Amino acid sequence: MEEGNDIKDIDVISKVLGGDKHAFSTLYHRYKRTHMLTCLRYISDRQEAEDVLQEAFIAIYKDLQQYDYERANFKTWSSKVVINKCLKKLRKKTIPTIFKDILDFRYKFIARANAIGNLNLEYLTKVINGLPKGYRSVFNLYVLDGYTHKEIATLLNISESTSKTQLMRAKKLLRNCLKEADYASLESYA
Amino acid sequence: MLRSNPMPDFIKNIKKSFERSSLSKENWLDPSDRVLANIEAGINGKESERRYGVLIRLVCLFLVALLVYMFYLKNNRQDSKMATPSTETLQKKDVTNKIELNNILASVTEQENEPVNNKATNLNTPSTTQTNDVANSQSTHSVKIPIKNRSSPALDDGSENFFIQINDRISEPIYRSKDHVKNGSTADLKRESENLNTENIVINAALLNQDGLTQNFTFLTVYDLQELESPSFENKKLPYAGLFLEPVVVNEKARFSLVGNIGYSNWQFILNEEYADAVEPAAFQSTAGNGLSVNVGLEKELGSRLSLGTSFGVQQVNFSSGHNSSVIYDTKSETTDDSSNTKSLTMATPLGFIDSEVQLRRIGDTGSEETSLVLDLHNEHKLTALEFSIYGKYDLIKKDGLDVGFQSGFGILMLSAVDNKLTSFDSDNDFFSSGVNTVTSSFEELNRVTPVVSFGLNVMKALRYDISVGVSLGGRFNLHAIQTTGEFETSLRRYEAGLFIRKSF
Repeated sequence: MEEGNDIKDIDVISKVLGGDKHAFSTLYHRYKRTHMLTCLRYISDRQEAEDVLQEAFIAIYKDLQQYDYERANFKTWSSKVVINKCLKKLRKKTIPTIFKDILDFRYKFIARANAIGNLNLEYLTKVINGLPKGYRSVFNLYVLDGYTHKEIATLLNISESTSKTQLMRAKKLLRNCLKEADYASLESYA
Repeated sequence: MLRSNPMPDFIKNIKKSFERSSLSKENWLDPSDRVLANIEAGINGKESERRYGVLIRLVCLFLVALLVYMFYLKNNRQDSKMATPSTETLQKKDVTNKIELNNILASVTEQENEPVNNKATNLNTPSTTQTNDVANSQSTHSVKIPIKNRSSPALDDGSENFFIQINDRISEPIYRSKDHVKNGSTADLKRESENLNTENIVINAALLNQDGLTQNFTFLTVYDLQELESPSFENKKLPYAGLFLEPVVVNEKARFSLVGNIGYSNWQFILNEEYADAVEPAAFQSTAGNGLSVNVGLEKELGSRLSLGTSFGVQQVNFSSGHNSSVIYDTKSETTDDSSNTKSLTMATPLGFIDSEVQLRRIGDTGSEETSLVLDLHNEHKLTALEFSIYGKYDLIKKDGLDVGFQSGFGILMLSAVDNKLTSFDSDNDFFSSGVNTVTSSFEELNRVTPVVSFGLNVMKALRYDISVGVSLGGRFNLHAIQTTGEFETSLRRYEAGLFIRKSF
């Protein structure tokens, strides 16, 4: 359950499944920021991230009957729906390998330009979002969403070794992007 | 999902930042209101609004309104006008007018020798059926038409019978004067109008015999009005002017015109800064699209200078693009029978990215397992588009049969077909040559339907009163990118030059 709501998720879900469509807005308001954050980690364009969030919530509503509260809490289950929607969106966006270095440079620049202020969640999201698509997906899935390389390989249709390589490169890029000062700020923030 | 490999500290810190339980202070994460609205619409089984849904609906609404307006105007005009009678009608009317003829002839006889301009006053006393129209008129204009000088075959008795009609684009109710002229060569035509715009008058003169049947038909253009003012006619007498005066609206207030246009089309693909920056290091190049455009349209005159129209067009252009791409040739991937590698390449084009598979053949010993190669890729594209637009046209200049008009409109461009061909890919290493290639996917991020605004100038010359030809120059600008891949976008500008023919009816 998220952010000070008295009614448990399962009770809200029961209402929705009982035909109370308006109850779904309770779930939406409860998890909109969590899932929006996920979308923004994967999708660089905010407008598109909102589109994905919208699609994800509609999918969550439609698949709600399949949700088994004994196997996972609603946040975890719905997060997977959101992540799948993000990955589906990313699969459509093909940016050739040859252009990634240029993008890397550009996002590095953005990251440093923003490093003047305190490191916060919004800034971190931007930095991660600035990673090249392949690196970003693997980093998000492995580090922040807890997937294994094997699962990532299946999800992204790549080999496990590619997943590991991309994660390693993503970390290297992040290291380069975030200056020492940023680390300190990050540690104090965390 | 347990993992044993340790993470660097800064990665752990990033992870902790994202795992915080509360996001209550992170207002920046709030989605816009439309998200919830669309979700509710989606849940309730409604179609979620697409990006151009509203726009397309507005255009459709406008089109419907336009059509209704056009037909309303036409019907209204038909209701109010007194249509030009057919020959048969004329004959019938002649019968009924014979009653009036006897009455009028008497007054004509009395006034036979009066000057033409005075004779015109007779026209202000039409038959009963015309009284209301005449009474509504505010002023009168007299035009003298030299029928004899046009085409006026003499009748058997040597006389010339005729009627004259004015075909006026700004059509006020006008009166056709059917006069039997035995000695004169001119006729007075009374026209009830406040604003007689001589620029817009086209006069059709028809000659009738005494039974009211048309003998000949002459078109007089606006320039003939100068002739009509010739002093040589000032003193001519019109013995029977005023006979058989009938109110007739000869022409529609606003006419329809069918316009056909064929021309050259030049497409300029404008890459946004992000896209241009990304592809520039790969020596990306592309040409403008060049091709043919064909349009047909329907115009309706709303005034003497203003027209509203719709057009439908098809355009097809060809263009090319290319850039470098680096690949690594791996001899370990070769088969025993074939010294080649098949590589998946993503290529950049002005229309977005396309995926392809290319075969690289090794034709010599490179001495190493892996060889870095730079490929020079060339693509050719053919694009077919349909366009529907609505436009307004204002004639800036109307002089000597030459119209210069400014045109502006709004439309929808639909990219209906996009063909791509990887024409060549050359390696920078002589030990390698190119083999077969296949385009596996293309232009997935193409925005196939985009709104367009257009501006243009056209110069038109009238060949006949209802047929004109001209040249048109114009530009069309897409209001939305034709491809969007993340932050990479391409917008489109088109420039066109064409020849058109216009038929009014």
